[in-house]
Amino acid sequence: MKPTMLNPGPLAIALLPLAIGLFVFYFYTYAREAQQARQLTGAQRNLLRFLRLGVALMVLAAITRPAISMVRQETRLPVLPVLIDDSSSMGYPDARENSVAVQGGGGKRTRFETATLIAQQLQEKMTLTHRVKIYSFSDTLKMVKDLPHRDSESTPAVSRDELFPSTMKPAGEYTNVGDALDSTLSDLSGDKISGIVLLSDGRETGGAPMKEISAKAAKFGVPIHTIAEGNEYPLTDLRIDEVVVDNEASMNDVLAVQLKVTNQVRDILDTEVTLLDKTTKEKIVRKFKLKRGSSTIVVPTVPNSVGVHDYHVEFPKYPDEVNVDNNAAEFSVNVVKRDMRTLLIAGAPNREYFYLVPALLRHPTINLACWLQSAGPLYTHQGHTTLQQLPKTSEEFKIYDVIILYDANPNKLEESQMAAIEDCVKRGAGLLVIGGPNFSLAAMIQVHPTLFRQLLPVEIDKSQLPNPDTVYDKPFKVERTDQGKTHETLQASGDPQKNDQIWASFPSLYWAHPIQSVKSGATDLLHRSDIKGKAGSVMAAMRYGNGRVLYLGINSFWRWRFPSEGFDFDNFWLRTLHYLGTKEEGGKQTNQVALNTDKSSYSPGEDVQITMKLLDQSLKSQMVGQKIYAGVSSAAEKAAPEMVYLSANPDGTIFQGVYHARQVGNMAVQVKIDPLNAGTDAKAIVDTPRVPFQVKLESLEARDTSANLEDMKAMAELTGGKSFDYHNMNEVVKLPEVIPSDPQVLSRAVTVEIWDGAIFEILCLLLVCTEWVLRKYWGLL
Amino acid sequence: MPPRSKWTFVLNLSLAGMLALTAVAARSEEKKDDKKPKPAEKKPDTAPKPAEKKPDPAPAPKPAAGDVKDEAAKAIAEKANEKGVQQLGKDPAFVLMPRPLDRSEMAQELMTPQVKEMVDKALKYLKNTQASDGSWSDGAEFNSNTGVTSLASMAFMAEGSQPRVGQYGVQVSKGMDFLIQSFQPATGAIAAGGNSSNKLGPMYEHALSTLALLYAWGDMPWRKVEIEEILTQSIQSIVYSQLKELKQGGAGWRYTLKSREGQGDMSVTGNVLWVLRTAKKCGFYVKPEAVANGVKFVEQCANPDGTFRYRFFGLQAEPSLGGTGVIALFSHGQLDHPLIPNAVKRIDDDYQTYTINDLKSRRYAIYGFFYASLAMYSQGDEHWVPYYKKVVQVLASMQGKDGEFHDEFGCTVYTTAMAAMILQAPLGYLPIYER
Repeated sequence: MKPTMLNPGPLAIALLPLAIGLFVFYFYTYAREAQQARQLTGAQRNLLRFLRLGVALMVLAAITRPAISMVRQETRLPVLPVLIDDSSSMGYPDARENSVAVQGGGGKRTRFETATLIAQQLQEKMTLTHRVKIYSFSDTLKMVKDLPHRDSESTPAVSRDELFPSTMKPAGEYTNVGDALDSTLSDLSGDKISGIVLLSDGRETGGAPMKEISAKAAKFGVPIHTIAEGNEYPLTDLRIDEVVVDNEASMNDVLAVQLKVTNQVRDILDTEVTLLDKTTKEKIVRKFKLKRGSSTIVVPTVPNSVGVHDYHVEFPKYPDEVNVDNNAAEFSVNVVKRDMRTLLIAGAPNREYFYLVPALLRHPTINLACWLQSAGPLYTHQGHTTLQQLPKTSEEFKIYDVIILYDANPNKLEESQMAAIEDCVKRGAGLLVIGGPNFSLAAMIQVHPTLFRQLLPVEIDKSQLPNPDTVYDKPFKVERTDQGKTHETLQASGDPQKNDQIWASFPSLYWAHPIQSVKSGATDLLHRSDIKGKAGSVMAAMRYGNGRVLYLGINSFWRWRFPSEGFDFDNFWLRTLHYLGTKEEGGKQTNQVALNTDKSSYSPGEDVQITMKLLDQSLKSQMVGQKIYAGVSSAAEKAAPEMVYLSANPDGTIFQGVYHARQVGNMAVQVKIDPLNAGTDAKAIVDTPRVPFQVKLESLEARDTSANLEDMKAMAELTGGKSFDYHNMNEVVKLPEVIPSDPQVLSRAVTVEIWDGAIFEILCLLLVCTEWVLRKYWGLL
Repeated sequence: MPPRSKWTFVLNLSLAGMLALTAVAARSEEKKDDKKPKPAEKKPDTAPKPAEKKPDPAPAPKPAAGDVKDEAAKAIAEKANEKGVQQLGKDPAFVLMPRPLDRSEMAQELMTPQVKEMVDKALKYLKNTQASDGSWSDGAEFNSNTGVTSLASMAFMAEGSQPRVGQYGVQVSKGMDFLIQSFQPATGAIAAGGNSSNKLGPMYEHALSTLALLYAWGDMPWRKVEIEEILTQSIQSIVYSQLKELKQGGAGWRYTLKSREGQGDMSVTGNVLWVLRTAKKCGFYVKPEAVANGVKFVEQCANPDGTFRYRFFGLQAEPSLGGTGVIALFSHGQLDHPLIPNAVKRIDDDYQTYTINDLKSRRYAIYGFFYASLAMYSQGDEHWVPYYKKVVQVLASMQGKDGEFHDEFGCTVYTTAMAAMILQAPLGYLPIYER
């Protein structure tokens, strides 16, 4: 308590003359009375003086408003805000390893159910020592309940059903953790916050950054105790993201069904996929080991009837899968009968011929007709189709998709037949020229100097006929050129590393056809290791009209039958024939480029990665100096497409660009490359089909279904709180022990005026009365 | 190979028959009483065995790799295998046998360092024993024999050599030159004159020479016309020499050329059928009934238990003829011939049951191994791999210090050539090994 004067200044000065006057009057009066007061003793006189002085002083004191100042203290319970995330992601199943996780409604163990259970357990303890405030949040913070303090355990706590009624469901579309914490700090700024308990999966979708707000809480000394629901993995789900399959397939040929799948069940999931042809009821089951995350698998099937085939592809369902509908997908493929008609004209049967013929005969889409030039007139020529005579006219040749001249005898090929072959290639057929020592390409050029030379991708010295006396006993290796490494004929495996390993097993050779050089428009694919420069090429490809010509100067591919028996050998020939013989409508060769996007579905704002890969290396020379653009347009829109520049990689085989997705809807990308300096009528070098993709609004909550354990933990560490997740959830019962329960003490300074108080007045009156009574008594009045 | 004289041959055959009957009887007893130890358990193996290899764990499914090409190839192979053996065209020479589903490393596993060393030594032995005229001689009775020369040349071809191409290109080329110069226009036979030829007749060596020339012909442009003429005549002479039809319809071949009298035998007929099918692959005309009747003859020599008799009228089964029987039966494009499964099973059982010593002490052991290897190779890895592993052990115990292999009559060239072909079969370089 501290005495003070509330009005000491100006008023006291103003009243001073009055006080002086009064003082003078007192002295005068007392002086006048003093005559009479002589009868009084000194003590009596002093008493009276004291009383008068006391009254005067009290009056003066009243004028100056005397008061007493003191500090008052108040004790309040601390506050414990408990924040529960009620965004829709909290409706996902909680981690199976979470020891507190319970079976919630609908038979699902949701993150929200776990959070409410923990909140309930916490409030039952904390309401004894704290004022517990339960909040929920998604985009904004909402008070669920300000729980009453309980004096003792005997007072029942609010029940879980009352606190979290069944109508309260996790349905928020956002998880703004930072905003929720910030609002809590603001709302409770006048209270002592013992800590904040945050129950969430921690996966923010927006709002103030969690880190920023946790720094703020740390500054205020408010620990945030984080209880993370879920685990670091996305929800248990095995889903087929995309089925990549051609719309049209050939009967008896492989239909490669490529499945882009996401495994969020476990790392290295042993699973199987079932592909059911609903049309024929044929079922294929393939086993796979899927690593966690995205991967692509291939389920090949071989349709054996024409018409539209409806397929159903399905993975098994796994426990806890958040969505089992996406384990299956359906698609349709139009199967057409499209044999690759192949004519093999061989000069004589040698070792390669013995193995080549069965390799081609075996393939179900190849319709082979052999013409062995050395055979006698009675001989039954081999093949699916038995030839009675070698085709002569263009009409007879044009039924073939691929023609193979295998060390052919030039003297048994008439000029008209060579012209017919050239015409076929020009129209879109493939020609495979294999040089051999029997007749040699030099001899062929001698007999057919113009047409054959035009057709060849390599230059041959027509005078360089094989020397029969030469012994070829020096082994040499062949190497793929840079272009050969990416050429489809030399892709023994889709995996580049595996492909390299397989080619490393290619054996040494002893003989290859001599050439002068590779033509400028042709692509050198395979090279002798012992001859540098273009004279060492043993395999080269070239476009000719609408068709393709492949030169092969090796007649002993059969040596590749070791170490993998016929596997690599057979497949080399099949790839080669597919390369030469695959055509689109109108006879033009297809598969010149492969155009694709990195995904099939995007959200607005995402980048669409567009990639165009050259499959036909011979296009490179035609594209020199060209800037490549991809046109992106909506599938339905007729407006001009938005052009995206595609930049080339160093070797000019892959072109990439980025389209920033804005417009929601079905979109498509296409690349069309016209020849430089050509008229409007000129045929495009590349004119790809439109590759569709989709831009759609996606739930932010569904984007990443994993819990952000790391950030939740970091937040707790930064603020000095405790963090819990499925690893240590059994310890969450100990959380109340670390939350301090010190009460909040509020101090207040209070000033009480005393001049107008009853005591003051009574005292004053008593002094006046006493003085007056004494004077009366002593006879001074 | 043929016996050296009629009497020794008959004697040997009788002995073989008795041995075979004893073996069959022994096996019947084993089946009756399973508790009896099998011959393989009874007789200790003296030959060194390769270290026991633990069974490979089941191959784990591959992680998803998205390798469309590998998967596509596998799917096509599966589909083709579902169809089984395919016969295409009017006169199928190329029989399409089941293809591998996946890139297999089995061939590499089979070509062990031990095998490579054995092959290397065997080929060097053959190289060193070639005469300056390109021929090979074997034993006392096969001086500059075309059959032996053919087999030795094919052993080099199995290594990957071609005439004038490859490590042994010169040897192959010289061997072929010898065959060409041994051609006898008068008879159409490819057989050296004088006492170089088999005394019973030249058909064996003629057939083998024709086979070797068929494989070399396409790689010898410098003698192409000449060889084509020789082959045309030699094939004609084989077809002409088919013996008269039996009452049941079959017709085989015997040792003599240009004569249709006599009774055929399984060994020569099997070889000839093999040659005729190869000739068809190479563009030569062979009338279909010649092959069909030959196959019928082989059918008549077959026993219900999967063995074959040397002659159709005999009773005794010849163990070494099992492989010959199998490859002869599909000569007319019928790999799924109903007699083949039993014959294959019989070979399987033989090589699983008998010890190394049992097998190597058989008559014409390497001849039997060679034809069995051709048969088992055609039946896929399930049969081929166990067979090959066993026969490698047997051959390892038979190889001499110079790399040669002996038969019971002291011949070392044709046996070494056949052994080299067996051992090099995993390379897949010689088209006689088909599948």
